[in-house]
Amino acid sequence: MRSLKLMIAATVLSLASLAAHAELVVIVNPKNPAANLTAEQVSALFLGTATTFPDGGAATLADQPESASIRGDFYQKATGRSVAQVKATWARLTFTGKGTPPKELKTDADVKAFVASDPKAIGYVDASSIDGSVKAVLKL
Amino acid sequence: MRSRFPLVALAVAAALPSLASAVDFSYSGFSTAAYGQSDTNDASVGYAAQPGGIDSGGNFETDSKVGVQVSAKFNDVISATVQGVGYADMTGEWEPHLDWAYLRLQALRNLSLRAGYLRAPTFMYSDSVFVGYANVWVRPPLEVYNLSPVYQIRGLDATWRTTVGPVQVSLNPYYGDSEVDIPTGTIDVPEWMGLAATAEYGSLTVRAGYSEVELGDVTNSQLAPVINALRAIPSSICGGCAIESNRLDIDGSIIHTINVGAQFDDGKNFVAAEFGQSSTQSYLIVAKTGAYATYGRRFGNFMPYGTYAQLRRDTTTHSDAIPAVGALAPLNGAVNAALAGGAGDQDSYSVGVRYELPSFSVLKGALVKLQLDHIDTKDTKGMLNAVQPDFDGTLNMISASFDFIF
Repeated sequence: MRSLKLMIAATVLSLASLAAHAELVVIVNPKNPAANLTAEQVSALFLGTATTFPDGGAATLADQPESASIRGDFYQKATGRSVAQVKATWARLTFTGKGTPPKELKTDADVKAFVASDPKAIGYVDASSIDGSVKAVLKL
Repeated sequence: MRSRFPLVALAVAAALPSLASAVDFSYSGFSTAAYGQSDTNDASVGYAAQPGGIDSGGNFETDSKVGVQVSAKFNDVISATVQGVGYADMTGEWEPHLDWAYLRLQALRNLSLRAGYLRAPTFMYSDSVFVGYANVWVRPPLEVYNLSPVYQIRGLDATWRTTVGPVQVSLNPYYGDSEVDIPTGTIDVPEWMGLAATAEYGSLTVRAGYSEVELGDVTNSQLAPVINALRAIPSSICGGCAIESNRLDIDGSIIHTINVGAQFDDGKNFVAAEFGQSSTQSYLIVAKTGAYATYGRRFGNFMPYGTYAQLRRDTTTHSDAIPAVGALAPLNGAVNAALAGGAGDQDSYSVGVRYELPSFSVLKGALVKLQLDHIDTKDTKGMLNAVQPDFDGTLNMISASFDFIF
């Protein structure tokens, strides 16, 4: 019993330290001229107040699944809002024809593949998933 | 207007399958199941002059809605959207309406144009007021949102966006006509135009709106005999009769609405405040000024909120433009009876709580709201409907809603 408690405690601790160290990056297609983006610029795109990159090019947004913890981390760090608040914002935009919510993909690999294949795309993944197929423009 | 809706729906439905292979379809919906009950049977709470509002008998009709939207994106430039919404309109009947049906053209990177049936952005949340999941309250503060009797426009709008330093700016002009269903028939709206300007900077949104609505033919106007009688009197006998007749006639009335609003939402604190003023010479619609302020604070999934709202009537409550004695006295009485029927001052105080539910199965998001309202009409009829002589001027109301998107 005692050893079970210890194990649980150890697991919780290691998960907590993992979460604390998890770094996420915002990625765009390598053809995107932006070298980096500010958290404000990323926030404006993912809250629907901006529809284009700073150079004026249209943006296509990729999201992670609602069940993934990275989604909550991303919105908290980039926009200061919870996943639920962001959903309410997109509901308002969707039903008034002012925007289309981000496309929800299943995994980091899916987001990366989507961004790698579309010059207009922007998404976010765990920093450890990054490779040459995409360009990191912001660390959160 | 309803009779013209099916034609648009049929045309869009007929056009879609043939294009389906190249088209990106999306489906989504929203719903609010709401119950409201007050402590009096001597007045009811509802939208504009809607019959069958909330009273001590309680009802599900006034605030409940269900909407379904289908969008078809043909390419990066052209898309079409149809949104059907079931709700109780100004006739008091809960029935389906085709609220939005438009073609959208992304003409330039920062300019989009739409044509069809649209909801006009008269006030800050006018176009999304039915999407309960996106809003803080069970219902929008009626002291502002009841200022304009029309909400749906058939015509064109444009949205132009630009960035000024760190500020996102958008301009949204619109133009068209409309028709309003009322219990006794319809009111024609031959011309309606407006402009909404919005600036967003971080957590702060500021907007201003202006609109001009011209009203036309009214079917079954009960005041027609009085209006005709006034117009038949030579101005040498009654100098004020012609002007008074115009003020009783909905046809030809113009309503100018100005609106200024601000919203601040930093994720923790939510503040929204709006001011609206509708000016008109009409004795039936009457000129009004309304305002509200809402504050809410989030604690995890809970958000308690409070609202103060007020409405002030700007049109006189009594007119002696027609002599009150002699042969014209009955007409003076008819004019003053009409004036007495219009809205009066009211203050309202609301507190509520909004609770976000964990999302489950097909629902993309769901929440429940509970709201208490205290309305004080300061011995007038306020913005209430079906006000009885026994009404003591105040009412308390409880409302609960379940709002979700799918």
